[in-house]
Amino acid sequence: MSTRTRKKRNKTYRPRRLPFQQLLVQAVAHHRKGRVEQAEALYRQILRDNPDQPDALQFCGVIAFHRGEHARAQELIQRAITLSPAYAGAHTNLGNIYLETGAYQAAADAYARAAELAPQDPDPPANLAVALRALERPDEAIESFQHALRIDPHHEKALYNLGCTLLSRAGFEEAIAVFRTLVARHPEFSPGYRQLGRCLTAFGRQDEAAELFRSWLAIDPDNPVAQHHYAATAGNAIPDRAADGYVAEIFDRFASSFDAVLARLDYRAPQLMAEAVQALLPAPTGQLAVLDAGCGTGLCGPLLRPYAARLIGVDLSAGMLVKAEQRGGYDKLVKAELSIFLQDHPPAYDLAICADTLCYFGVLDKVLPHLAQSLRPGGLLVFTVEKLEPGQAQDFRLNAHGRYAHQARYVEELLVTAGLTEVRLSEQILRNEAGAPVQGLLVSAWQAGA
Amino acid sequence: MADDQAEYRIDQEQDQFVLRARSGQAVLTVRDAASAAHYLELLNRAYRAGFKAGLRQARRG
Repeated sequence: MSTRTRKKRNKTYRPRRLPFQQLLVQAVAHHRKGRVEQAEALYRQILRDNPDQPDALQFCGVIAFHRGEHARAQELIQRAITLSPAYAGAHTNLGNIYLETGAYQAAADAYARAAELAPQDPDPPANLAVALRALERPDEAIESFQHALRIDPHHEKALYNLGCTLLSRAGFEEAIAVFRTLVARHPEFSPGYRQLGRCLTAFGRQDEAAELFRSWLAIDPDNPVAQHHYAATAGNAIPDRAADGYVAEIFDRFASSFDAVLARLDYRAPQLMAEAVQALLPAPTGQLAVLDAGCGTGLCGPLLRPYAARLIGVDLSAGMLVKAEQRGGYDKLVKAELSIFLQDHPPAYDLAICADTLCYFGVLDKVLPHLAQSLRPGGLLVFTVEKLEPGQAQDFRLNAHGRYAHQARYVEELLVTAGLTEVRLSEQILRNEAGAPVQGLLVSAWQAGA
Repeated sequence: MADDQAEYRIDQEQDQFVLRARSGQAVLTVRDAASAAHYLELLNRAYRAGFKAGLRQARRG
C-alpha cells in the first residue's frame, strides 16, 4: 500500500462502533474463559448504549453474584426478566442466587419457570431437583432429576445428585446403580467413584469397592483419594497414615457442606471434648494457651474459647481453615501437617485437644509423643480415636471406609511411655455412619505437674 | 520380688490396679493384673530411657 493511499484512508477513518450483538459475543467469550474484568467492561459498554439489553444485564448480575453482591445481582437479573420474561437463562441464574442465599422455595419457583420456558434443556429440572432436595422434598427431587435424565441420560450433575438423594432415602441399591451408571458414562468424574466406593464399603461389599478403586487408579494413578481407598479396601500396602494429599483433598472438597453433613451423622466429638475438658479443668478463666490440633471448620473453637488466653487451630485443609476463620474465636489458624507443626514448636500449651483427627493416622508413634511434648508441665491432652476391638494382633487397622481404628492398649502404651500421667480412656459413640454407631475412645492424659 | 529402684509401682485398689510414679501420681488404672504388670515394665523401661525414645524403645526393652 502506498503512503498516499494510507493517508487517504486515515483521513476517512472513524472508530467503528461494533453492534452490541458483536460486543456481546466477545464479552461472553471473555466471561467463559474467566476473564471477568474484560467481560464486565464490555457488558457495561453495551448497557451504556442499550440500558435495557437483557443479556448484558443478566451477565452483569452473574458477575455481581460471584463477587458476593447478592442484592445487586438479584436486582440486575430481575430487571432482565422484567424486560424479557421468557428468558430461561435469567430465571436459572436468579434461581442460583436464591439457592445460594438459602431462599429454597424462591429458587425452586425460578428453576420451575426456566424448565417451562426451555423444556428441552436438562439443566432447569436438574437445578429444580437440587432446590427441592434442600426443601426436604426428596420424592419430588428424585422425579425432577429423572426428568432431567429423560432429556439427557448422560447429565453428570443429575446422575450424581440423584444417587446422593437416593442414598439419603436409604435407596441403597438404586443409588449404587445410579453411581455405577455415572462412573461408566463419566469415567473422569472422580466424585462418582468416591460416592460409589462409599456406598459399597458402607454395605460390606469390600471386594467390589476394591475393584472400583483399582479401576479409578487405572485412569488416575496419582489420585491420593483413589490410592488411599484402594489400600483400605484391598488391604494392600497400608500406609502408616493417610497421605497429606488425601486429607487435604477430601476436606477441601467437603468444607462447604462439612457442618451440615456432620449434623446428619450426629457427630459428637466436639461435645465430648467440651464435657471432658469441663470435667477435668477448673471453671474457665480465659488464661490458658490452647491448641486445637486438627481444628477442621472450628467446631471446637467456641467450646474452648472461654478457657483460652490464646487459641491456636491447626489443620491440613485450607478449605476447612477458611470456614474456621469465618466461625471465629481463634487467635491464629495454621495450615500444617500436625506432626511437623508440633515438632517445630516447644512445649507451649496448657491444653491440647485433637477431635476426630487421629483417625487419619495409623501409626501414632510420632504424633502422640509430639502432642505430649507440646504440653507445658501440668498441661492436659484430650483426644478421640476410633476403637479397634481388643484381640486384634495389630495396633491399628485401616478400615474399608478409609479411617484408622486403634487398640486401646496401643494408645495407653504410647501415652505412658511419652511420660504422661492419669491416662484415662472411656468408650464413646463418636457418630453414626450408614445407620450404625461408630465406637470410639475418648482419651485424656496429663503432662507431669508444674 | 519388688524392685526398690523402680520408678513406678502397682497399687491394688478394690478391683483395679493403679500404676503410680514414685511421687504417688497415678499414671494409669487397669482392671487386670497381667495388664498392670505389662504397663509397669513398659513404664520403667521408658523412664530409664528418659521417655524421649517413646514406645518403640520401651517395647524393645
